Amino acid sequence: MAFRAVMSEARTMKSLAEAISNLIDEGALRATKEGIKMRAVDPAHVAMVILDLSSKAFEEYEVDGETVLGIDLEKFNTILRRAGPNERLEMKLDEGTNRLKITVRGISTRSFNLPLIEVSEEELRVPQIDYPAQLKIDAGVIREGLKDAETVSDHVALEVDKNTFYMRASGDAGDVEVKLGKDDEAMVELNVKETVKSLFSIEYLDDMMKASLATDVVLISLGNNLPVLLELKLGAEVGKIVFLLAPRIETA
Amino acid sequence: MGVQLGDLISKKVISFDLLRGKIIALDAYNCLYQFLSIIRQPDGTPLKTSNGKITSHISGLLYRTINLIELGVKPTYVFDGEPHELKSSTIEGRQIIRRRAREEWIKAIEIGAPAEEIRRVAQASSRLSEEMIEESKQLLEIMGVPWVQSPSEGEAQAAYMANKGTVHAAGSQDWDSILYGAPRLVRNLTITGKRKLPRKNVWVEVELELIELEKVLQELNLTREQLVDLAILIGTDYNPDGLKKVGPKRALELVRKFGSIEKMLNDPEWESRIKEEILADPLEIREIFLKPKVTDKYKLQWKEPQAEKVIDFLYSKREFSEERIKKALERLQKAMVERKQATLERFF
Repeated sequence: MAFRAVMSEARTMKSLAEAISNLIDEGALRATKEGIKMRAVDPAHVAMVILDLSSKAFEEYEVDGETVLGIDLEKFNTILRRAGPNERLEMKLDEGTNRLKITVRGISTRSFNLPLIEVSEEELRVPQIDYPAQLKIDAGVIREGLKDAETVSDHVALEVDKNTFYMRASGDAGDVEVKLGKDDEAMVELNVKETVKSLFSIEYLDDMMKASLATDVVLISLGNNLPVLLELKLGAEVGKIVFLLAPRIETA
Repeated sequence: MGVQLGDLISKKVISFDLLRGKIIALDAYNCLYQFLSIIRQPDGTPLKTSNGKITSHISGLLYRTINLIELGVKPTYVFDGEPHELKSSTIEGRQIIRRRAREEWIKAIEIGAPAEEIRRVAQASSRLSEEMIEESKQLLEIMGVPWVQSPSEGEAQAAYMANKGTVHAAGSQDWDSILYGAPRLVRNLTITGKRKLPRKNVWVEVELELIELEKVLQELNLTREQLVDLAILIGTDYNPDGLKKVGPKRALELVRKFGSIEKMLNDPEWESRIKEEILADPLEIREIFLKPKVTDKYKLQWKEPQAEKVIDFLYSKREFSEERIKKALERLQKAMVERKQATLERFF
């Protein structure tokens, strides 16, 4: 059991910690020589996070066999919030005290010790869904679209047909529609077999999209009343984070 | 009432997380009786309006249903229809017990018995009237919670719906749903926190229990038919006394030894005991459990609560505190909105 990882810039880890800690209270980071993986569901079993960080995401990376780090994600995020996006970040397991030592190096050097916790590790299955629609778009479109939708409702419909992606929301305060056509610059790819629509909680989507600050493009898989799959590539060889969010069902 | 299988059946303690988003068909009579017997004032009198109308069942139905919805469960209530003619002796028996308990209760108060004693006899005197059933249905209606009318037993209908997959599990305190073929039975759904053991000054933590038919059969190494036979030997609602001096353990031995009640009937000694002690035809009882009268005529639809009607029903007509009803309604409305959120389990 030994683990040490260094990122030259804290930016990616900051936005990942922010997004994940908003959804999930605790998680087990599983470090092997390939990299760090985590899979967890939120307490309400509505959202799932699958994190897959390559060892290449780190400037320096050392691990002995397989090391599992049980993390209180809220505390982890509180510490990472203190790191500047361009500051150097080091995470090191102190086996003696069972703490994760997080060192942030900027103008000065600051060290935080995060006690590790026991996390019950149940094997989490991922629903296997054959999605009829997939699209790749600028993450900013979703982030802004959610803010637009939030002006009238706490949930938003994600819809796609052969030519267009829509975000629609309605409430007592009126309706909102965000539209992105296949020829728009922000639309990178659009593969749609049939017109589909599902409804989602804005709060959850908002939390998930916080991870998108580490990237530009989001891959969305969508169906009719099916969970949405959001995949954020964290840059070449860095890895990815995938979110799965169960829909809201209007009838019954 | 119901069959006393508790000692033989292993149950799994579960948390409400496992039931999130799942439809549970509750045995309405079972719940209402519970509310009537549990929800009482310290001296054992049920909750009442100023002109003496009992409201314990209404209070229970309102608050416990909201609790369940808040916990993410989608409850529906199944009401009994016509009881099978074989059951009438049980019903008469229960009526006698209740009448006696009522007399005892009144006497206990007159002689100034200890509060504890008064409460105990009061609880046994609970009676569920036609009117109480009608108003319970009415309350569910305006709360937006669906209910189902069973042509026969509520538990049989709940089991049928669970078997079909329309609902996830049957909810009842009795084991009978399992005999009627429910793949899953959840107990202690409408009891929360702590419960007092009858006749003892001991409180136990009430835990949610899941009983799975398949597992029960596997563990006991019986078929469902054999499980029903076992129940008949112990005593069911259709033959309350069962065989004399035959408890769950002895009954299990007998079913294992003989394989079925038919085979027991081939044994002269048992044949005469069964005929004497099980007043009805045991094979007919088995048929009721295996093929109860059920219906496909039901629609499970949860709607927004009708706030004004709920307030009128509870405040104007039954003297509930207006403030408390408004709070309850708020909780219900909020929970209904949240419940539209599906969980991931649904997509595995």
